Amino acid sequence: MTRSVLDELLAGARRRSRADARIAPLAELRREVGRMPPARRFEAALRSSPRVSVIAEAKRASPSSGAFGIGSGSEAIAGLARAYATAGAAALSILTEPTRFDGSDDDLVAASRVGLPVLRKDFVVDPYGIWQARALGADAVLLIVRALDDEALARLLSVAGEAGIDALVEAHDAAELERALRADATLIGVNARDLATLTVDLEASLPLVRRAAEAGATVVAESGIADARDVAGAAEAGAAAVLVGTSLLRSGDPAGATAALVDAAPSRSAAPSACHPARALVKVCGMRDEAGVRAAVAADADLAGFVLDPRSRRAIEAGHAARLIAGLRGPRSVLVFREPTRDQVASALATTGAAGVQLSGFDGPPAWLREVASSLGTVIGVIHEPASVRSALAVAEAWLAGGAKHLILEGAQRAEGGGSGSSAPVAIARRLNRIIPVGLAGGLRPDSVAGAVRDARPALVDASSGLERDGASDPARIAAFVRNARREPAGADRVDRSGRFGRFGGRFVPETLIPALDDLEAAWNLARRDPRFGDELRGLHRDFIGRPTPIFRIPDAALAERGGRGASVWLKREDLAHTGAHKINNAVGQALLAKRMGKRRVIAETGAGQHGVATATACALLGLDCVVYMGSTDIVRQAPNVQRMGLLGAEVRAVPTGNGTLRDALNEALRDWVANVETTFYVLGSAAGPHPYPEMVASLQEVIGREARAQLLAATGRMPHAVVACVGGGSNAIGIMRPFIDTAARLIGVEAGGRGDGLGDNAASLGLGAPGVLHGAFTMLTQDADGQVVEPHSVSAGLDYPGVGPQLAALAESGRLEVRRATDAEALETTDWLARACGIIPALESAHAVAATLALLPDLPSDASILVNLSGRGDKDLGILERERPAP
Amino acid sequence: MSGPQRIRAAFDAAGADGRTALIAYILSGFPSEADALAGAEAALGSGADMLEIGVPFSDPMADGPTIAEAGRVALAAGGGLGSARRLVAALRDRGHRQPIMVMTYLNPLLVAGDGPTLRTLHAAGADGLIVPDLPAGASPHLERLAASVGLATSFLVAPNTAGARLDAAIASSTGFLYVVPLFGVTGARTSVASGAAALVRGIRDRAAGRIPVAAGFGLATADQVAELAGAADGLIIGSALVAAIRDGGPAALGALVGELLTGVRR
Repeated sequence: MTRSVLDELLAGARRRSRADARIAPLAELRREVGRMPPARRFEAALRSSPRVSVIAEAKRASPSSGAFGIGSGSEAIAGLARAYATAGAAALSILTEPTRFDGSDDDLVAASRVGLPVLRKDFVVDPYGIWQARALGADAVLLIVRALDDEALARLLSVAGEAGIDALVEAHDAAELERALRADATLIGVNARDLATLTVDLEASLPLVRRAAEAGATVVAESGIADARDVAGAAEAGAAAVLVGTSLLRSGDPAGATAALVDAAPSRSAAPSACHPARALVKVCGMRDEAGVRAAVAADADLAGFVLDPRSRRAIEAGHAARLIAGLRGPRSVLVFREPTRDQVASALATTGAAGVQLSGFDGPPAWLREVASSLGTVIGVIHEPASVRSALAVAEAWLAGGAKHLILEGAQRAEGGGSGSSAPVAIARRLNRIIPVGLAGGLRPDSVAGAVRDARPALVDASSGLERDGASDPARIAAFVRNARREPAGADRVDRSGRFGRFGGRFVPETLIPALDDLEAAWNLARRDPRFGDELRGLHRDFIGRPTPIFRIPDAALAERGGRGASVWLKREDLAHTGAHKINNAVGQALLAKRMGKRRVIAETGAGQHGVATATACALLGLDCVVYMGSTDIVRQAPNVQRMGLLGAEVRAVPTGNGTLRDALNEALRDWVANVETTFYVLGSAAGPHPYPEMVASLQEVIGREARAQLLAATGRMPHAVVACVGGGSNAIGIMRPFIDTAARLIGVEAGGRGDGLGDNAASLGLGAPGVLHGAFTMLTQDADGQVVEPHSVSAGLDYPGVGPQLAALAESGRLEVRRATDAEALETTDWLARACGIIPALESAHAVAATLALLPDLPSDASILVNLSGRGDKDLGILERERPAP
Repeated sequence: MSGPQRIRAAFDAAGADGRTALIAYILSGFPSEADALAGAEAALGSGADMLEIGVPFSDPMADGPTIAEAGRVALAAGGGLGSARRLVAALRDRGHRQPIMVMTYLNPLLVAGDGPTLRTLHAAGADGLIVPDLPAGASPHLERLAASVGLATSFLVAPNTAGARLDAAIASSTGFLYVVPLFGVTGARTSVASGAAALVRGIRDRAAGRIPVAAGFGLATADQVAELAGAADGLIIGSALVAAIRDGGPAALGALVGELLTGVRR
């Protein structure tokens, strides 16, 4: 590649950015990225690996080697990427440059689905290229020092941090390497190939590898690596990884050649790593009085700090701390010192019985720490105002090696400061957090903490002065700080490209269904962007379903009987939707999609019969053939709904296998789909199952939450204190909650507590289950120790499902969703109460949500408003009510 | 020899003998653990080249009524991954050397930790894994893990598995490629689906010797076996054998294997 060829590639990259930006403007890309889960940690994976990592590169051609004969279409690249992954590659590098390397953006999208961290290998010269890389699914982006001046390099490194991906900064000679180090790069590629002459000199590159490693960088040796000896040479010089492409592709057996390099990769001294928590821990510091301690307990803070440093104005005596700690139930207590001696720490711990210590004032872990760290409980190391990411990284790793469990980067903002997100320490924290989990402290306040969490994704947030008013603890500020710090969900807000919400979701089904799910996903993605589809759906909402459904405020006098103290409870009346439940929102949407895809035959599963009736109704309207699978037991329990489906022209097929309930019906529907996949559309009833169902069903049910949010704002002028819904598979819950995920409202999911907490006595997959795979998704399940799915129990047939939608599983795991239970008896009693107090007979499912809301009433602030999804009406349950609770 | 090597050797031996390999599916714990062992020995005694040991599962979405109902019986008697492991170990204790694949849905593999579970199966003497609800590429981690403990993996492909997905399944499979030449779940059919032989032959050409190709689902008679014997490196018989042991005990299963073997010559 002569200088002019490099210039040409760079000019081409600028032209591509300009052209792409006309189609997808930067602002739109950034919004899309905001909805994506965090990128995989590329640099961290290399840095903490105990062996030298192999980054395997996929490219169709290169200027130095010509074409590699991989085949066209991004499936070819995806196949190669999978083969690399199976062979043990730690990460992937995907060429997307189209003119000389024959790559494409689609290749990157396809490869990112494989699951390994992915580098976008291209000639990125502007912020657009970085945001675009992230939006396409890349976890790291290449920055070539030779192509950028100092200012551009520093700016693009910062943009990569903002976009939440790593930057591999590539240098070829000593001068370029020094520029990379000055720009504060942490991940440095030493390219043995001279981009001007295309010649490779592995020997000459090794001193540069050594220099970069000694400067604390994570070093990747690039180009010219052909065999185990080359890997050993790079490793000996300090490389954490080798990036290999040409030699793998020329070998004729890329997977075998990768496996050979992986097997031969030498050991290295790995950097210490710490676990990245799903959400930021919240520490409230400077506890001095009982009011503060009570507020920390009530807000359920993770950690509470007691300052023992006599120089601080928040300092308290050890004896006083001991008394306060005795009243601390829940949060872990931490004693905060500045440059203490070993004896000071030990004696204070003995006096107070605290659960841990926070050490500040040191440049790194004090020499005595390692010996005693294990006896100190939770050790938090404080890093003061670091000058650069690389220096902070070195100190952080020293603390971890010295026995610290958590790290806090102090000086994020000045105590008197206000804003967030733009200060230098936040920029350092967010880059550092890609590699090592660190917390943020200094000037955080209730109104700024959510922004800091969003911008820096810290592992912990810590505040003290921001929690006070007039020099004393302010319980309201403590509560608001904890609540706002937890507002940002970790990856659970939107589905990622492989159909995962956090770690939940995916597509675990027989191979026969994969093409059908691919078609469904493509059709859904087209339909949801098509204004005609939206118009048609909205028309049916209004004229056929009767939307918007109203919200109704339960009379205060009725709530007062149940311990209400002024808080208002609003019911979202999905029971008033056509066919008597929210299920119709989803059924109409999917039936419209079936028609659009040209499928004439529709199948569905049903438990209580509500989804079956809704699907039969939608099919009758749209002229589609409809087969509904229903367990034999449920057919007996829910006879009126079976009659309804018959009237609507649907064929109800009894499923006698298993226990004859919802899961058996779902298994049978899936079997039908496998056998008739080319002609049949499967209308799945909950936000569960294989991707794209959880995302699609949640999107179709989101109308509940959008309406309710606007209605409640109009009625009360503000957001609710909490949004409550029952959770079986979870479609009514995710439907009402989605529009509130990014607000401060508490989200409360209520599972069927059945007759108790024993296995098989309830349907509490979130609260009492364990992770596993059922019906095509990785989610939470009620299962036994042998991995067999246990038949759940609930008086309500609609909650009687052993799994739960993957997005709710992710929201629960991240702490965003509070999970509660209501028992059979509570649901029955609440049904009775609501019928008499308000004239509304709720479905037994919805009664669980109302029951949990009533239980909350005594603890709610008097000005709080609670939004409850009354997901269906109770007519279908009359037989059960008769049997379970005979009328007096 | 590692799992993949033993499996390859069994296919090669059958091929050298001028026939397709016969793979007998035995559901562990059905109708009892002792009878499942007797049935497996009867199959091998009659000349089956390889065994596929099924793990009963509560929600067998790829199985038809015969195996699903048998699975419920086995589960009720305490079957599961444990009964499959015990069956494999007992067969090895009794000196059987033929390759053994374990066929299980994904969830039982995950619950106690996939690493320990795979290592335990390997230690018991299993050579490979078939996971019907795990498409190729859905879990590179599990594929790597199986390879690292020495277990082969066999991925399933269907009539609608095309192009890159087929190539991925071929590339990811290290035991044999499992072709399901029809749309549907397991269970005996009265005839071979039309075009099945051509489909299997086409997929075998695409695999180009990189991996043996076996076909299963729906095969029940010697005539059906004969119809596909020339197209596949191996044929898998499942529901018909489960029905045989259900209705006539281990001896009937052994007899059916013997009868099916009359169709394996090319």
